[in-house]
Amino acid sequence: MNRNAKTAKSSLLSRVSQLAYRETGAALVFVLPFIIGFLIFNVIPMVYSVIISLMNYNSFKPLSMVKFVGLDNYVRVFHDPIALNAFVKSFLYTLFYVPGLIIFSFILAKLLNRTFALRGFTRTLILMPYVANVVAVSIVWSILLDPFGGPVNQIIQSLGFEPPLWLSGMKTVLPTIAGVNVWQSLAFQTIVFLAAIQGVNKDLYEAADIDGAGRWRRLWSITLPVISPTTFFLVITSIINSFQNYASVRMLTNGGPGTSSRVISLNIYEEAFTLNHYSYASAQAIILFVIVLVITIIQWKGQKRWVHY
Amino acid sequence: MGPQKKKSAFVVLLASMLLVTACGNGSKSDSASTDSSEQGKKKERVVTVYEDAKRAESVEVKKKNEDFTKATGIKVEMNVVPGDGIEVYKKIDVDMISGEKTDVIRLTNPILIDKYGSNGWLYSLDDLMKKENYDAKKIYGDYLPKFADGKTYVLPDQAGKWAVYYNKKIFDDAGVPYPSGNWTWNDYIATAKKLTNSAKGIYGSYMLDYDNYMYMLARQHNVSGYKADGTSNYDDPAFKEALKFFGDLGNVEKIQPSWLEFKSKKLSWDGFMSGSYGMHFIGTWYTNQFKDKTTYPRDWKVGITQLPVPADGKGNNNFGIVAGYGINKNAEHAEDAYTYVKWMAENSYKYNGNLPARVDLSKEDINKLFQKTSDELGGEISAEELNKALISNDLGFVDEKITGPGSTEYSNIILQEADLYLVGQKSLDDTIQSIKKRADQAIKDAGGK
Repeated sequence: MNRNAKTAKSSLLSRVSQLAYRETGAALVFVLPFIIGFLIFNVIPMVYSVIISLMNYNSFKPLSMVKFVGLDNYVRVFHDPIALNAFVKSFLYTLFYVPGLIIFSFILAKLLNRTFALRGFTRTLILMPYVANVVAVSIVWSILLDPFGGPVNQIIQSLGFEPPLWLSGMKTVLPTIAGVNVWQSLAFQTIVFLAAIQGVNKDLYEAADIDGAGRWRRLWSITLPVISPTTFFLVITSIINSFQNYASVRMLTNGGPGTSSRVISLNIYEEAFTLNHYSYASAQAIILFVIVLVITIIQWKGQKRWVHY
Repeated sequence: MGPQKKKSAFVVLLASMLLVTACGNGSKSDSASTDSSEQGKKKERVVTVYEDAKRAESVEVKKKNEDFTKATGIKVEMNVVPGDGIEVYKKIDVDMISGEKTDVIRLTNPILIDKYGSNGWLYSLDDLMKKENYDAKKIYGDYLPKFADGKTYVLPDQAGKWAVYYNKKIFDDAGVPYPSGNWTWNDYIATAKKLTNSAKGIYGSYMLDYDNYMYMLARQHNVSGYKADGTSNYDDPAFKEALKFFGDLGNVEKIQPSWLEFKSKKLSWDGFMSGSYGMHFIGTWYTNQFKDKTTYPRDWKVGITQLPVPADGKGNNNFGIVAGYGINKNAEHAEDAYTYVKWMAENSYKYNGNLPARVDLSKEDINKLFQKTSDELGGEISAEELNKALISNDLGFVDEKITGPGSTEYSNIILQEADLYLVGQKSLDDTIQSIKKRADQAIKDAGGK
């Protein structure tokens, strides 16, 4: 009896100790830290943000004085020219940033895919802006683009042209910020494109050569369709990143001149932390989340037309 | 649920419990050790104070805190907030909401004093003052910040005024006599023009990008930012004239960096210390920079004179702000914090070269203060010059800032809209209209009219 009990106990222990090695148990154990982190740092703050957006927490008062106001904060966004302007600025910024980033990184990847002297060194140089601090990058570009004696404008002037105001002009500020960000983000996109281009089956190019296809035909009919899943991934992540852009705008212009570069992320930050409009800022953040989600879904649905797996 | 699933669930539960317990144990052991050390600390009186990173490192603040500890036996612990200027209040705001217990907050302008005091974040000092018959009104007079509920939340430690500091070397090199006060803005512009030397990269004047520069002329005329019905008064012609005047200093008169140059070069608040500007129109808190020759080594001497007034003779006013100390309503050491606030309000002026907010000081006390400042500046500015520039003149005194409902938003709106006018991208009339319209909405949102 005693021996039986002991045997049963040891077999239970060995089974329990083996559980973690079984597939389902092991999977759960491995993902648990992520799930806990995701819940604490993503899901709970998001839910909290939704709840706050339905309150009237729009002044620097204790939480105990906050009341439920339904969708008032959401309605207010559509009557606030500054918030609407910030959404428009974010869209415009995306229009400058995403095509610029995708086109330039693809061209760069194609160039780097060739054999030339110091190729490894060149690739390292291209990676440098990506690892540079955004504050340092902003300071450097502010100096370069300074309308008062900055080197870029001096060169333009010496060529006999009227130099633009860059970061100080109402019309030039957004494309300029987008340009700086394209320059900084180029490395990641280029590396991903480079990997995708290198993964294209060489047989396809050889077959195209035999068929007499030119350079553009090979690019259009082989390279672009084959790397389209990579392009799709880069477009989606670039659009999401472009709507979340805050740091470089803050450092380069802080939304100026006036509200010319006040993108929605900056507006949300200012509403929340300068003006203490916590609920209103949360409502704008939720609207931004919905916009990004809708754009992503549209792209997801639309990928059938141009993405080839 | 099958036996296999039950076992898996058991393992997951076990892992979760281990994780949570591990986290829990850490904090528990921390608090246990804190408890035991706190018993030892109970006898030690401590006050915790918010300071920005720059001030926390300054000799002035360190010396002040040391002297406070010597005088009261209360140790000062600083809660250092990264950043400087008004940026630090973004962090402090969030701290307040989350129930942070740091005792003392230094509030550097009337907008902040109103924001913290009127929204219930500060500890009322009335009971503590009553307990020891502390007559704040007698000591601080009209500088004592007032609140709608009639309570006292802040004791002022400085009542800064504005003045013109000038670089004597630039005046000497240009052969221009030093300004002697009693002058108008036209005189200021004429003097600055003589000093400006673009070949040497010298501007005659330097001003910053604070909101009150946009409307300083209106404030000198004592024109309020609010109408009697509570709406924005920015459509008053005085504000339009003031904004145009400020813009013209850089864009038309070219005596100082234009707004565009200031912004695109990211010129800093302490730019005058570079030695490239003849005169700097700024508050008296700036005096400290001239004492600090480690951070700002210089080969030139500084002078001071009173601020210029509008030529129409109707705005003979100096302006300035009151700054002070308040106690967090969740303060852990409210009584010791009160001792700190009171001591700082009474003594800060002895350390920072600024003007005290005390009306109980005699002329001798003030002269002593000026003499001390003069000595610390190595005699570059005499006590008499300080007195003449700041006290013994025929100027009145008005608030520097627009304070009232929605004043933080109001200030931001002015800066945003004026920015467009100053870089030439919006007309003056449109700018004023936009400020008025947006400020009205902000006042309404803030619970005003």
